[in-house]
This record gives sequence, structure tokens and C-alpha cells, in this order.
Amino acid sequence: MIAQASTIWQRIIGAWTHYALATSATLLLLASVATAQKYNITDIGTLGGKSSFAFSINGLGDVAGSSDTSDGKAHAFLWTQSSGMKDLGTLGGASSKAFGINGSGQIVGWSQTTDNATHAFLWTKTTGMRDLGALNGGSSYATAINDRGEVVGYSVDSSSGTTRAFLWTEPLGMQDLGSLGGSASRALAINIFGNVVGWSNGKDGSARAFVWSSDNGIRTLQGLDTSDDSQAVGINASGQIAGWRSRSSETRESFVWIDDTSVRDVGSPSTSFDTRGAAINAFGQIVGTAFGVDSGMNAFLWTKSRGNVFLKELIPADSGWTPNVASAINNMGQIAGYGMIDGQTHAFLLTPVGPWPK
Amino acid sequence: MAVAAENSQLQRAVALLLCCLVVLSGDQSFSQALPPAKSELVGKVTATHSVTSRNGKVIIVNDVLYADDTLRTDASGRMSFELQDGSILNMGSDTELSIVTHDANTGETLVNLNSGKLRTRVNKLQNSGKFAIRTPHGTVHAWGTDFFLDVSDNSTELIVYSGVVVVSSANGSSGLGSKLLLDVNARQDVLLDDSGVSYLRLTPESVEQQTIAETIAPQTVPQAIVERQPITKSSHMLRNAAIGGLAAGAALGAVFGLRGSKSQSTSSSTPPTIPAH
Repeated sequence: MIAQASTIWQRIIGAWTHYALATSATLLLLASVATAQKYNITDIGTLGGKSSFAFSINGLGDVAGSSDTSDGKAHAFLWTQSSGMKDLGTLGGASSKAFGINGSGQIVGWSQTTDNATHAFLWTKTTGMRDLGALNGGSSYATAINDRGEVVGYSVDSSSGTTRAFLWTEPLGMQDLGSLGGSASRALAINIFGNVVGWSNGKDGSARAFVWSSDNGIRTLQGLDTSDDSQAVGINASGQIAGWRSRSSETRESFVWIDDTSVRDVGSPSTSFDTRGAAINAFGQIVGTAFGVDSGMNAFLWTKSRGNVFLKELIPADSGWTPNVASAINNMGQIAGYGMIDGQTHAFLLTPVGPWPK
Repeated sequence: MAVAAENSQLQRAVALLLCCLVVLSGDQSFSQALPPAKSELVGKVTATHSVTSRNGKVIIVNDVLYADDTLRTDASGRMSFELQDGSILNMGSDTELSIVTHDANTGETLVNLNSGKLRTRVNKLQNSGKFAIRTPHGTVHAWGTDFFLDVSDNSTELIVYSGVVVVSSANGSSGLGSKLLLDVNARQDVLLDDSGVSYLRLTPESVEQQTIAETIAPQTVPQAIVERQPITKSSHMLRNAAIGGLAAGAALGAVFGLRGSKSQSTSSSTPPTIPAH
């Protein structure tokens, strides 16, 4: 009798435990849905023209990009919360674009020069825009700068037809980072430790993601098939890399994150046929752009816990914005990009509302 | 004759014993004032306020610091010290740290901040990222940077005033499974705790000013310290004088003992004289 009673009690307790666990799980799920991170969206404006494009954001939320001026030229800009948009000028030519900004407010990009060449520039508040030159006297394009002032990009030698990824530092100037055997390489991002990522042609002409370090030089990323086209576009301090690849066995591109030993496809929004990652922050949050079947572009945010979410679902429904391209994300979760508002393309800044997103 | 010889040996033994005692006591006092011979000189104290100590002993301005030293301030204490490479560290109150290693040539530095507040101004280094401060919640790697740390039981707050640091969190991950390395800019404020990074935000200006004030050590020594120091100094002087006196006495004793034994051994070949009554 005692044994039987004990069994009954065990069953009752077991049932209640099961019920309690199920209820807790449901409540947790509901709570996570209810507390899904939301963002404020800020129109960064323009330099007097119709359109602007944000390409980079630093840790403090300052944004760099390009904007049409009132006379129809494209000029590099710096936008800060306190000062708004500032025209960075040019190297003497008609237009310029800014593609990287670091925590000290140093900005890099490219500009037309007085003799109509295109050169990489470094802009600082005190020195203004400075020409970084080019390898072999050709054209050059700076794409990123880290918090130690190291600049990466690529330089085009029109006489030989080669394109080379470069690393520029104050003491050493512009260094050729080489290639994976082909005629072209481009450096697209650099982390605080000076590790560089980008893409390079192999001997067979296909584009492959690479990582470069001062110790190991340029090398392909492990885990990528040699038959795939791929690019690495962002790298964080931990060495995690965001990129995308176009698999020969599939018709669409997908974005990936890569650590030192493996490559993982992280899925695409169901309505998209191509997705391209653009940047990764210290917490492994990745932003990019999904290309829909109707050729529309939608900016997205990917996190490990929530997967892909379109930015338009994270901003107020009545904002009037369609965020098309997410270009960059900082460690505070702020996202810079550009999208449509009132029929025009404007740069935007998304800032998390409420609890800090991890 | 035999008694005289025994006395002579006894005197010699006492003298040697005294010498040994003096040498031992001298060594002991020295070992309290200086660290073990293996430790490297790493810097010196530039300012103090209230009670500050090194390895449990009171420390004052211009005292030199060695690797493995543990420094402390009391509830109202402050201390500033400069490392060999020119980096300046300001300790706030109720703070304890130990200097694990510092190499001015390579820039390699490791300081364990066990508790309290510390402002660090790292001299610009050629070898980047080798200056590290470790707390129970993470490690901060700095390049020519000015930053503040506040370590409590449950968390470490980091505020960067200028430059950039990389934080390696003792807990948590990057969100993709690997260890978190977070680059933190000037004007940013990070809280590390058992979950990893609790928040990362722009530092409110008032917080920046407040934290700077919390680690300032006055360059001039306040009256309270002036009053306390003579006590310390005089006690040291008394101790040293006592040790010196003992040493002198022992030396004299030894000399006289030796002299006595010598004269006695000399006189041992001659008839002893009878003391005059």
C-alpha cells in the first residue's frame, strides 16, 4: 500500500513538474518575443542634394558615407549626433566618398584629385583630407580603418591591369598585401589587431575570401570550397569573419560567418534569393542586405538567438522608412545604412531602444 | 690557566654569537624593507594620501616598486606610481593591486587589480597590446590609452578616456561561441560581470569627471601624513639605531673578545700577574 501511494505521489509530482516546465518555457518564449529589440531610426539627411548613403559607423555612433551636394556632386561626409552632417571636401576633384571611420573620428575613403585620378584619402579633424597615394602610381581606394589608424583598401595599376589589396600605416605607408595567385585582390575590413579580410582571385580566376595577417601573410579561409566564389567583408576583434559565398551547386548566394576553422551558412530570409553580409560586431551580430525575387533590397540583422530579421520589422511601423541596405554595425548595436524615405534615398542610423542588445 | 682559557673561549663564542645575531637581525630588517633578490625594479611611488602600503608595510613618495609587490590603499587612501616605461597608475581608495610583471623595454606589463579603483595612463608602446590589467571579471589590453577600472565583488566597470582598449571577458562569449574580445573606444563605459558584458554605453560626462576625481592623489603630502610620517620615520630611526648599536656592541665585543683572547694567549706563555688588591 505504501509503495503504491508513493508511486501515485511520484506521478502527481512528475505531472506537475512537467506542467511547470512547459509553462515556464512558454512564458520565456512569450517574454523573448515581447522584449524583442526595437530600434529608433534617425534620418541623417543630406549635404543639400537628394540622396545620401551611410557606409560606416564607429563605436561612438558617428557615421561616414557620401551625400549629394546641392550642385549634384557626391561628397564624403561625417555625421555626429551633436554636429549633424559635415562635408569632408575632396582632394581637389569633383567627388569623394567615405567608407571607414574609427573611434578617433579618422575617416578613409576615396576622392578624385585635381588631375582627375582617384586616390585613397585619410581625413582627420585637424589635418583635413590627406592623399594616401597609390601603388605604382595608379588609382587607390580605402575601404576601412581600425582604431589604431591602420588603413586598408586596394590599388589599381592601370598599366599592368592588376588590382592589389593594400595596408597603409603611418610609418610604413602603403604595402601590397599580395593575392591568392590571381591578378586582383581587395581588402575590405581590418580589426584592432591588424588582421585584414577581403577577396582575391585565385589562379583560376575565381574570387575567394582571404584573411591576411602580418605573421602569416595572405591565405584562403579554411572550410570554403575552392569552386565557390566568396568574399569576406567584416572581421571583429575575436577574429570572426562575416562574408558571403556563391556556391557552384546552388543558384543563390548566402551569407556566412566564419571562425578560424569552419564556415557556416546562417540561412537567408525566405523571401530572398541572395543575401550578403556587410559587417560583424564584437558580439557576432551581422548586418547585410537581402535581395528579393522582385529585385527589392532589404536590410537585415542576424543574431545567433533570433536568426535573420529585416530591419523594417524592428523600427516603428509608421516611420515611413524602408531600410534597403545595412552597411555597418557597432558594438553598441547601432546600425548604419541607407533606405527609402519619402521617395528619396537617405542614410540612416538605427539605435537600439531600451536594454542593451547582446 | 684552564679557567682563563675557558673564559677566553666563552668570550669568543659570545662575540661570534652576537655577530651572528646582528647579521641575522640586519638581514631580517632588510628583507622587510626590500623584496626578494629575484624581483625586478618596476617603478616608484609619486604621490600618496592617507594610508598606503606595499606588502603590508607603509609606503611613501619616492619609494621604489618591484615586481610581485602588492599595493593597498585604505578607505581614504590614494596612491600614484610611475612604471619604468613612463606609464602612470593612480589608485583610488580601498584598492588593492599587485604588479605581476613590467618590462620597460618590451612593454610587457601585467597588473592584477583585485579590488577598488584604478586609473591607468599607458605610455605609447611600439609593441602593441602587451600592457594588460587583469580583474576577476576580465582582462584589459591597452595601447597608449587612458582608462579607469572599478572592481567590486560582482563586477568590473571600465571607462576609456582616450585611445582604445580590448577587453577579454572572463565570462560570456562573442555570441558565436568563442571567447569575447571587445574593442572599447574613448568615451565608452563597459560593465563586466558573471554573464560577460552587462552593458556597453557612451560614458555620461558627469561619470567621466567623477571617476577621474576618485583616483587623484595630491602631489603635496597633506598635514595628516606629515604628522604620521615622523612617527614612522623615527621608529625606523630608533630601530636602525638599536640595530646599529647592537652591531657596534657586537663588533666591539668581538674585537675585545678577540683582543682578550689574544692577550691571554700571549700571556699564557708568561707568568700570570696577580691583580693588585
